[in-house]
Amino acid sequence: MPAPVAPARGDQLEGWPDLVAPTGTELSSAIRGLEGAGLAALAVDPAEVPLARDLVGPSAIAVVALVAAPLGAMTVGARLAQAERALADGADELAVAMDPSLVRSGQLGRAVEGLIPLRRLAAGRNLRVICHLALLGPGLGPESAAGAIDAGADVLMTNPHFDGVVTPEQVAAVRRRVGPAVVLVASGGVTTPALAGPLLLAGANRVAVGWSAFAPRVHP
Amino acid sequence: MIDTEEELAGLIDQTNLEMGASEQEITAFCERSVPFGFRALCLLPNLVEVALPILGGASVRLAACVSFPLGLDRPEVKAHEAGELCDLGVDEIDMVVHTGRAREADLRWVEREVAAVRRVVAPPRLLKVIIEIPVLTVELVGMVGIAAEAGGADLVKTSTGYKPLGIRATSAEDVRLLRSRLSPSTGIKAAGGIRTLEQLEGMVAAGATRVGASRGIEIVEEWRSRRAGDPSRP
Repeated sequence: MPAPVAPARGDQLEGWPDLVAPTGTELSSAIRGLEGAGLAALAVDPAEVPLARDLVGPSAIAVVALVAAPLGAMTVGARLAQAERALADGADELAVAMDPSLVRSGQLGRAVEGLIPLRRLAAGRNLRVICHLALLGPGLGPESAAGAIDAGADVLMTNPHFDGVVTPEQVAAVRRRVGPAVVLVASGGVTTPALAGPLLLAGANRVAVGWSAFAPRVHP
Repeated sequence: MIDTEEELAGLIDQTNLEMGASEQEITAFCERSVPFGFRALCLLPNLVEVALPILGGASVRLAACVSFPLGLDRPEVKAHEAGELCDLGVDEIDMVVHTGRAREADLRWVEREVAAVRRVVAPPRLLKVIIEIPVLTVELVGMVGIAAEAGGADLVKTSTGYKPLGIRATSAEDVRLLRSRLSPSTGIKAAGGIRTLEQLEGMVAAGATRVGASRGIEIVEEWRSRRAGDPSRP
Protein backbone atom coordinates (compact mmCIF):
# COMPACT_ATOMS: atom_id res chain seq x y z
CA MET A 1 0.00 0.00 0.00
CA PRO A 2 1.47 3.43 -0.95
CA ALA A 3 2.27 5.79 1.90
CA PRO A 4 -0.40 8.46 2.46
CA VAL A 5 0.48 11.84 1.00
CA ALA A 6 0.75 14.57 3.63
CA PRO A 7 -1.58 17.55 3.14
CA ALA A 8 0.11 20.67 1.81
CA ARG A 9 0.93 23.50 4.20
CA GLY A 10 -0.31 27.01 3.41
CA ASP A 11 3.21 28.19 2.60
CA GLN A 12 3.47 25.46 -0.06
CA LEU A 13 0.45 26.88 -1.89
CA GLU A 14 -0.14 29.88 -4.12
CA GLY A 15 -3.31 31.45 -5.50
CA TRP A 16 -3.85 31.03 -9.23
CA PRO A 17 -6.57 32.92 -11.12
CA ASP A 18 -9.36 30.69 -12.38
CA LEU A 19 -12.41 32.96 -12.23
CA VAL A 20 -13.90 33.93 -15.59
CA ALA A 21 -14.28 37.69 -15.99
CA PRO A 22 -14.28 38.51 -12.26
CA THR A 23 -15.61 41.86 -11.13
CA GLY A 24 -13.70 43.96 -8.62
CA THR A 25 -16.01 42.77 -5.87
CA GLU A 26 -15.44 39.13 -6.77
CA LEU A 27 -11.70 39.69 -6.96
CA SER A 28 -11.66 41.36 -3.57
CA SER A 29 -13.59 38.50 -2.05
CA ALA A 30 -11.26 35.93 -3.62
CA ILE A 31 -8.11 37.73 -2.50
CA ARG A 32 -9.38 38.04 1.08
CA GLY A 33 -10.10 34.31 1.04
CA LEU A 34 -6.58 33.63 -0.19
CA GLU A 35 -5.07 35.80 2.53
CA GLY A 36 -7.00 33.86 5.12
CA ALA A 37 -5.53 30.61 3.82
CA GLY A 38 -1.99 31.82 4.57
CA LEU A 39 -0.71 31.34 1.01
CA ALA A 40 2.81 32.20 -0.06
CA ALA A 41 1.93 34.12 -3.21
CA LEU A 42 -0.96 35.31 -5.29
CA ALA A 43 -0.83 35.51 -9.09
CA VAL A 44 -3.05 38.04 -10.85
CA ASP A 45 -3.69 39.22 -14.38
CA PRO A 46 -1.88 42.51 -15.01
CA ALA A 47 -4.86 44.87 -14.83
CA GLU A 48 -5.63 43.52 -11.35
CA VAL A 49 -2.24 44.25 -9.80
CA PRO A 50 -3.31 47.59 -8.23
CA LEU A 51 -6.31 45.99 -6.53
CA ALA A 52 -4.27 43.02 -5.30
CA ARG A 53 -1.53 45.34 -4.04
CA ASP A 54 -4.05 47.45 -2.13
CA LEU A 55 -5.74 44.45 -0.56
CA VAL A 56 -2.62 42.49 0.31
CA GLY A 57 -0.61 45.48 1.50
CA PRO A 58 2.96 44.91 2.65
CA SER A 59 2.15 41.39 3.87
CA ALA A 60 4.15 38.22 3.37
CA ILE A 61 2.04 37.25 0.34
CA ALA A 62 3.89 38.06 -2.88
CA VAL A 63 1.80 39.66 -5.64
CA VAL A 64 2.83 37.98 -8.89
CA ALA A 65 1.83 39.68 -12.16
CA LEU A 66 1.10 37.38 -15.06
CA VAL A 67 2.73 38.52 -18.31
CA ALA A 68 1.69 37.32 -21.79
CA ALA A 69 -0.46 34.70 -20.11
CA PRO A 70 -2.18 32.43 -20.77
CA LEU A 71 -1.21 32.06 -24.43
CA GLY A 72 2.37 33.35 -24.49
CA ALA A 73 1.47 35.00 -27.79
CA MET A 74 2.39 38.64 -27.22
CA THR A 75 5.29 40.27 -29.01
CA VAL A 76 8.41 40.97 -26.96
CA GLY A 77 7.71 44.71 -26.97
CA ALA A 78 4.13 44.27 -25.75
CA ARG A 79 5.30 41.91 -22.99
CA LEU A 80 7.75 44.53 -21.81
CA ALA A 81 5.08 47.23 -21.77
CA GLN A 82 2.76 44.94 -19.82
CA ALA A 83 5.49 43.99 -17.34
CA GLU A 84 6.68 47.58 -16.81
CA ARG A 85 3.16 48.67 -16.01
CA ALA A 86 2.62 45.76 -13.61
CA LEU A 87 5.82 46.56 -11.71
CA ALA A 88 4.87 50.24 -11.56
CA ASP A 89 1.50 49.16 -10.16
CA GLY A 90 3.20 47.28 -7.32
CA ALA A 91 3.85 43.71 -8.45
CA ASP A 92 6.49 41.90 -6.42
CA GLU A 93 7.29 39.31 -9.08
CA LEU A 94 6.64 38.63 -12.77
CA ALA A 95 5.42 35.31 -14.20
CA VAL A 96 6.01 35.34 -17.94
CA ALA A 97 4.49 32.83 -20.33
CA MET A 98 7.15 31.61 -22.72
CA ASP A 99 6.26 31.78 -26.43
CA PRO A 100 5.15 28.19 -27.15
CA SER A 101 4.85 28.84 -30.88
CA LEU A 102 8.57 29.49 -31.11
CA VAL A 103 9.34 26.37 -29.10
CA ARG A 104 7.08 24.25 -31.31
CA SER A 105 8.66 25.86 -34.39
CA GLY A 106 12.09 24.53 -33.40
CA GLN A 107 13.23 27.98 -32.21
CA LEU A 108 13.71 27.52 -28.49
CA GLY A 109 16.69 29.87 -28.68
CA ARG A 110 14.49 32.75 -29.85
CA ALA A 111 11.94 31.99 -27.14
CA VAL A 112 14.73 32.14 -24.55
CA GLU A 113 16.12 35.38 -26.04
CA GLY A 114 12.68 36.92 -25.66
CA LEU A 115 12.93 36.43 -21.91
CA ILE A 116 16.20 38.35 -21.53
CA PRO A 117 14.69 41.90 -21.59
CA LEU A 118 12.20 40.80 -18.95
CA ARG A 119 15.03 39.40 -16.83
CA ARG A 120 16.70 42.81 -17.00
CA LEU A 121 13.46 44.62 -16.21
CA ALA A 122 12.79 42.44 -13.18
CA ALA A 123 16.25 43.05 -11.71
CA GLY A 124 16.16 42.36 -8.00
CA ARG A 125 12.77 40.66 -8.17
CA ASN A 126 11.81 37.11 -8.98
CA LEU A 127 11.33 36.32 -12.65
CA ARG A 128 9.12 33.30 -13.07
CA VAL A 129 8.68 31.58 -16.42
CA ILE A 130 5.57 29.61 -17.33
CA CYS A 131 6.72 26.65 -19.43
CA HIS A 132 3.53 25.26 -21.11
CA LEU A 133 4.40 21.68 -20.21
CA ALA A 134 0.95 20.28 -20.99
CA LEU A 135 1.07 21.77 -24.48
CA LEU A 136 4.72 21.05 -25.25
CA GLY A 137 4.80 17.49 -23.97
CA PRO A 138 7.56 15.42 -22.38
CA GLY A 139 10.18 16.25 -25.01
CA LEU A 140 9.95 19.99 -25.58
CA GLY A 141 8.49 20.86 -22.17
CA PRO A 142 11.51 20.10 -19.97
CA GLU A 143 13.80 21.61 -22.61
CA SER A 144 11.85 24.88 -22.51
CA ALA A 145 12.17 24.83 -18.71
CA ALA A 146 15.94 24.43 -19.00
CA GLY A 147 15.99 27.29 -21.52
CA ALA A 148 14.13 29.49 -19.08
CA ILE A 149 16.79 28.82 -16.44
CA ASP A 150 19.47 29.76 -19.00
CA ALA A 151 17.63 33.06 -19.49
CA GLY A 152 17.89 33.77 -15.78
CA ALA A 153 14.52 32.60 -14.45
CA ASP A 154 14.37 32.35 -10.67
CA VAL A 155 11.26 30.21 -10.58
CA LEU A 156 9.63 27.84 -13.08
CA MET A 157 5.88 27.35 -13.38
CA THR A 158 4.52 24.38 -15.27
CA ASN A 159 1.39 25.70 -17.09
CA PRO A 160 -0.57 28.91 -17.62
CA HIS A 161 -3.98 29.64 -16.14
CA PHE A 162 -6.99 28.33 -18.08
CA ASP A 163 -4.95 26.22 -20.49
CA GLY A 164 -3.15 23.05 -19.49
CA VAL A 165 -3.42 20.77 -16.48
CA VAL A 166 -0.33 19.93 -14.45
CA THR A 167 0.48 16.30 -13.64
CA PRO A 168 3.05 14.70 -11.31
CA GLU A 169 4.76 13.31 -14.42
CA GLN A 170 5.32 16.84 -15.81
CA VAL A 171 6.74 17.99 -12.49
CA ALA A 172 9.06 15.00 -12.19
CA ALA A 173 10.32 15.44 -15.77
CA VAL A 174 11.22 19.09 -15.20
CA ARG A 175 12.80 18.33 -11.84
CA ARG A 176 14.99 15.70 -13.50
CA ARG A 177 15.99 18.14 -16.24
CA VAL A 178 16.78 21.22 -14.14
CA GLY A 179 18.06 19.62 -10.94
CA PRO A 180 17.14 20.03 -7.29
CA ALA A 181 18.11 23.68 -6.72
CA VAL A 182 15.54 25.32 -9.03
CA VAL A 183 12.30 26.54 -7.46
CA LEU A 184 9.43 24.81 -9.26
CA VAL A 185 5.76 25.72 -8.89
CA ALA A 186 3.19 23.23 -10.20
CA SER A 187 0.50 25.30 -11.91
CA GLY A 188 -2.49 24.74 -14.15
CA GLY A 189 -5.82 23.14 -13.40
CA VAL A 190 -5.30 22.49 -9.68
CA THR A 191 -8.74 23.15 -8.28
CA THR A 192 -8.25 22.23 -4.62
CA PRO A 193 -5.39 22.05 -2.10
CA ALA A 194 -6.17 18.35 -1.74
CA LEU A 195 -4.58 17.77 -5.17
CA ALA A 196 -1.28 19.35 -4.13
CA GLY A 197 0.28 16.38 -2.31
CA PRO A 198 1.26 14.23 -5.31
CA LEU A 199 2.68 17.29 -7.09
CA LEU A 200 4.85 18.17 -4.10
CA LEU A 201 5.93 14.55 -3.85
CA ALA A 202 6.91 14.59 -7.54
CA GLY A 203 9.29 17.48 -6.93
CA ALA A 204 7.33 20.74 -6.86
CA ASN A 205 8.30 23.26 -4.19
CA ARG A 206 4.87 24.85 -4.30
CA VAL A 207 1.51 24.30 -5.97
CA ALA A 208 -0.70 27.02 -7.49
CA VAL A 209 -4.33 26.37 -6.60
CA GLY A 210 -7.29 28.03 -8.33
CA TRP A 211 -8.84 30.96 -6.45
CA SER A 212 -12.26 29.40 -6.59
CA ALA A 213 -11.10 26.80 -4.07
CA PHE A 214 -10.93 29.62 -1.55
CA ALA A 215 -13.71 31.94 -2.74
CA PRO A 216 -16.33 30.18 -4.88
CA ARG A 217 -18.53 32.31 -7.05
CA VAL A 218 -21.73 31.79 -8.98
CA HIS A 219 -21.22 32.31 -12.70
CA PRO A 220 -23.79 34.52 -14.42
CA MET B 1 -29.24 36.03 -48.62
CA ILE B 2 -25.72 35.13 -49.73
CA ASP B 3 -25.68 34.93 -53.52
CA THR B 4 -22.11 34.14 -54.45
CA GLU B 5 -19.08 32.37 -53.08
CA GLU B 6 -17.19 35.67 -53.18
CA GLU B 7 -19.86 37.26 -51.06
CA LEU B 8 -19.67 34.40 -48.57
CA ALA B 9 -15.87 34.45 -48.33
CA GLY B 10 -15.98 38.24 -48.00
CA LEU B 11 -17.97 37.84 -44.79
CA ILE B 12 -15.47 35.53 -43.12
CA ASP B 13 -12.48 36.24 -40.92
CA GLN B 14 -10.67 32.94 -41.30
CA THR B 15 -9.17 32.42 -37.87
CA ASN B 16 -6.34 30.55 -36.21
CA LEU B 17 -5.89 31.44 -32.54
CA GLU B 18 -4.55 28.10 -31.37
CA MET B 19 -2.16 28.42 -28.45
CA GLY B 20 1.29 27.35 -29.55
CA ALA B 21 0.53 27.08 -33.27
CA SER B 22 3.91 26.72 -34.95
CA GLU B 23 5.25 28.95 -37.68
CA GLN B 24 5.02 26.03 -40.07
CA GLU B 25 1.36 25.47 -39.18
CA ILE B 26 0.56 29.16 -39.64
CA THR B 27 2.37 29.23 -42.99
CA ALA B 28 0.29 26.27 -44.16
CA PHE B 29 -2.88 27.86 -42.79
CA CYS B 30 -2.23 31.10 -44.68
CA GLU B 31 -1.23 29.41 -47.93
CA ARG B 32 -4.34 27.24 -47.84
CA SER B 33 -6.66 30.12 -46.91
CA VAL B 34 -5.53 32.88 -49.26
CA PRO B 35 -7.01 31.38 -52.47
CA PHE B 36 -10.49 31.38 -50.89
CA GLY B 37 -10.61 35.17 -50.83
CA PHE B 38 -11.65 35.56 -47.20
CA ARG B 39 -12.14 39.07 -45.91
CA ALA B 40 -9.32 38.64 -43.42
CA LEU B 41 -7.09 36.14 -41.70
CA CYS B 42 -7.16 36.54 -37.93
CA LEU B 43 -4.08 35.50 -35.93
CA LEU B 44 -2.34 35.89 -32.59
CA PRO B 45 0.24 38.71 -32.39
CA ASN B 46 3.36 36.53 -32.23
CA LEU B 47 2.56 34.99 -35.62
CA VAL B 48 1.78 38.15 -37.58
CA GLU B 49 5.28 38.38 -39.01
CA VAL B 50 4.98 34.85 -40.35
CA ALA B 51 1.79 35.71 -42.25
CA LEU B 52 2.74 39.10 -43.67
CA PRO B 53 5.04 37.90 -46.48
CA ILE B 54 2.48 35.28 -47.53
CA LEU B 55 -0.33 37.82 -47.72
CA GLY B 56 1.74 40.44 -49.56
CA GLY B 57 -0.20 41.36 -52.70
CA ALA B 58 -3.26 39.27 -51.85
CA SER B 59 -6.58 40.99 -51.29
CA VAL B 60 -7.10 39.24 -47.96
CA ARG B 61 -6.50 41.49 -44.97
CA LEU B 62 -4.56 40.61 -41.83
CA ALA B 63 -6.20 40.93 -38.42
CA ALA B 64 -4.52 40.40 -35.06
CA CYS B 65 -5.88 40.11 -31.55
CA VAL B 66 -5.00 42.45 -28.69
CA SER B 67 -5.21 41.50 -25.00
CA PHE B 68 -6.49 38.13 -26.10
CA PRO B 69 -8.22 36.20 -24.64
CA LEU B 70 -8.92 37.71 -21.20
CA GLY B 71 -8.77 41.46 -21.84
CA LEU B 72 -7.24 41.99 -18.39
CA ASP B 73 -4.78 44.70 -19.33
CA ARG B 74 -4.55 48.41 -18.63
CA PRO B 75 -5.75 50.60 -21.53
CA GLU B 76 -2.27 51.95 -22.24
CA VAL B 77 -0.89 48.41 -22.51
CA LYS B 78 -3.62 47.48 -24.99
CA ALA B 79 -2.81 50.61 -26.99
CA HIS B 80 0.89 49.73 -26.95
CA GLU B 81 0.21 46.23 -28.26
CA ALA B 82 -2.15 47.52 -30.96
CA GLY B 83 0.34 50.19 -32.02
CA GLU B 84 3.11 47.62 -32.40
CA LEU B 85 0.88 45.44 -34.55
CA CYS B 86 -0.13 48.36 -36.76
CA ASP B 87 3.54 49.27 -37.18
CA LEU B 88 4.18 45.71 -38.34
CA GLY B 89 1.50 46.11 -41.02
CA VAL B 90 -1.68 44.60 -39.61
CA ASP B 91 -4.89 45.89 -41.24
CA GLU B 92 -7.38 45.13 -38.47
CA ILE B 93 -7.26 44.83 -34.69
CA ASP B 94 -9.58 42.60 -32.64
CA MET B 95 -9.26 43.87 -29.05
CA VAL B 96 -10.83 42.30 -25.98
CA VAL B 97 -12.41 44.63 -23.42
CA HIS B 98 -11.77 44.17 -19.70
CA THR B 99 -14.57 41.69 -19.16
CA GLY B 100 -14.66 42.11 -15.39
CA ARG B 101 -15.15 45.86 -15.76
CA ALA B 102 -17.81 45.18 -18.38
CA ARG B 103 -19.63 42.81 -16.02
CA GLU B 104 -19.75 45.49 -13.32
CA ALA B 105 -21.02 48.07 -15.86
CA ASP B 106 -17.90 50.24 -15.64
CA LEU B 107 -18.75 51.73 -19.02
CA ARG B 108 -16.33 54.62 -18.68
CA TRP B 109 -13.48 52.13 -18.40
CA VAL B 110 -14.67 50.28 -21.51
CA GLU B 111 -15.06 53.47 -23.53
CA ARG B 112 -11.68 54.74 -22.34
CA GLU B 113 -9.80 51.56 -23.26
CA VAL B 114 -11.44 51.37 -26.67
CA ALA B 115 -10.65 55.04 -27.30
CA ALA B 116 -7.01 54.47 -26.27
CA VAL B 117 -6.67 51.71 -28.85
CA ARG B 118 -8.62 53.68 -31.47
CA ARG B 119 -6.07 56.47 -31.23
CA VAL B 120 -3.34 54.15 -32.52
CA VAL B 121 -5.55 52.17 -34.94
CA ALA B 122 -6.18 54.99 -37.38
CA PRO B 123 -8.54 54.48 -40.33
CA PRO B 124 -8.46 52.83 -42.81
CA ARG B 125 -7.37 50.24 -40.28
CA LEU B 126 -10.38 48.64 -38.66
CA LEU B 127 -10.97 48.28 -34.93
CA LYS B 128 -13.14 45.39 -33.76
CA VAL B 129 -14.02 45.25 -30.07
CA ILE B 130 -14.78 41.92 -28.40
CA ILE B 131 -17.29 42.23 -25.55
CA GLU B 132 -17.64 38.54 -24.55
CA ILE B 133 -21.43 38.45 -24.60
CA PRO B 134 -21.69 34.95 -23.03
CA VAL B 135 -20.62 36.39 -19.64
CA LEU B 136 -22.85 39.48 -19.83
CA THR B 137 -26.49 39.97 -18.93
CA VAL B 138 -28.93 41.02 -21.65
CA GLU B 139 -28.97 44.55 -20.26
CA LEU B 140 -25.18 44.76 -20.19
CA VAL B 141 -24.77 43.59 -23.79
CA GLY B 142 -26.38 46.78 -25.06
CA MET B 143 -24.62 49.03 -22.56
CA VAL B 144 -21.17 47.61 -23.19
CA GLY B 145 -21.72 47.51 -26.95
CA ILE B 146 -22.68 51.18 -26.95
CA ALA B 147 -19.64 52.04 -24.82
CA ALA B 148 -17.42 50.25 -27.34
CA GLU B 149 -19.12 52.19 -30.13
CA ALA B 150 -18.59 55.46 -28.27
CA GLY B 151 -14.91 54.61 -27.89
CA GLY B 152 -14.58 54.27 -31.65
CA ALA B 153 -15.23 50.62 -32.54
CA ASP B 154 -15.87 49.95 -36.22
CA LEU B 155 -17.33 46.56 -35.37
CA VAL B 156 -18.44 45.02 -32.10
CA LYS B 157 -17.55 41.35 -31.83
CA THR B 158 -19.63 38.90 -29.83
CA SER B 159 -17.06 36.62 -28.20
CA THR B 160 -13.46 35.48 -28.04
CA GLY B 161 -14.55 31.90 -28.63
CA TYR B 162 -11.73 30.88 -26.27
CA LYS B 163 -12.75 27.37 -25.30
CA PRO B 164 -10.87 26.93 -21.99
CA LEU B 165 -13.10 29.59 -20.41
CA GLY B 166 -15.95 27.12 -20.74
CA ILE B 167 -18.41 29.74 -21.96
CA ARG B 168 -21.22 29.02 -24.40
CA ALA B 169 -21.04 29.60 -28.14
CA THR B 170 -22.34 32.79 -29.72
CA SER B 171 -25.99 32.60 -30.76
CA ALA B 172 -28.00 34.39 -33.43
CA GLU B 173 -29.99 35.86 -30.56
CA ASP B 174 -26.79 37.53 -29.27
CA VAL B 175 -26.33 39.14 -32.67
CA ARG B 176 -29.96 40.26 -32.88
CA LEU B 177 -29.72 41.81 -29.44
CA LEU B 178 -26.54 43.67 -30.31
CA ARG B 179 -27.98 44.80 -33.65
CA SER B 180 -30.99 46.27 -31.89
CA ARG B 181 -28.78 48.38 -29.61
CA LEU B 182 -26.00 49.61 -31.91
CA SER B 183 -26.09 52.30 -34.55
CA PRO B 184 -26.66 50.94 -38.08
CA SER B 185 -23.23 52.16 -39.14
CA THR B 186 -21.46 49.93 -36.58
CA GLY B 187 -20.70 46.48 -37.85
CA ILE B 188 -21.13 43.26 -35.90
CA LYS B 189 -18.70 40.37 -36.00
CA ALA B 190 -20.20 37.11 -34.82
CA ALA B 191 -17.57 34.73 -33.44
CA GLY B 192 -17.36 31.79 -31.08
CA GLY B 193 -18.43 28.30 -32.05
CA ILE B 194 -19.56 29.04 -35.62
CA ARG B 195 -18.71 25.88 -37.49
CA THR B 196 -21.27 25.42 -40.27
CA LEU B 197 -22.78 27.29 -43.21
CA GLU B 198 -26.19 27.14 -41.60
CA GLN B 199 -24.87 28.77 -38.43
CA LEU B 200 -23.15 31.46 -40.48
CA GLU B 201 -26.32 32.19 -42.43
CA GLY B 202 -28.22 32.48 -39.16
CA MET B 203 -25.74 35.03 -37.86
CA VAL B 204 -25.92 37.08 -41.05
CA ALA B 205 -29.72 36.99 -41.04
CA ALA B 206 -29.60 38.25 -37.45
CA GLY B 207 -27.46 41.22 -38.46
CA ALA B 208 -23.81 40.12 -38.49
CA THR B 209 -21.67 41.90 -41.05
CA ARG B 210 -18.64 39.71 -40.41
CA VAL B 211 -18.19 36.19 -39.07
CA GLY B 212 -15.11 34.80 -37.38
CA ALA B 213 -14.53 31.09 -37.92
CA SER B 214 -11.65 28.66 -37.70
CA ARG B 215 -13.50 26.47 -40.21
CA GLY B 216 -13.91 29.06 -42.96
CA ILE B 217 -12.62 26.71 -45.64
CA GLU B 218 -15.05 23.96 -44.65
CA ILE B 219 -17.90 26.48 -44.66
CA VAL B 220 -17.07 27.62 -48.20
CA GLU B 221 -16.73 23.99 -49.29
CA GLU B 222 -20.14 23.29 -47.76
CA TRP B 223 -21.53 26.14 -49.84
CA ARG B 224 -19.96 24.66 -52.98
CA SER B 225 -21.46 21.24 -52.21
CA ARG B 226 -24.86 22.77 -51.72
CA ARG B 227 -24.57 24.59 -55.04
CA ALA B 228 -23.40 21.43 -56.80
CA GLY B 229 -26.39 19.52 -55.43
CA ASP B 230 -28.90 22.19 -56.39
CA PRO B 231 -27.51 24.83 -58.78
CA SER B 232 -30.72 26.86 -58.59
CA ARG B 233 -30.28 27.34 -54.87
CA PRO B 234 -28.17 30.23 -53.70
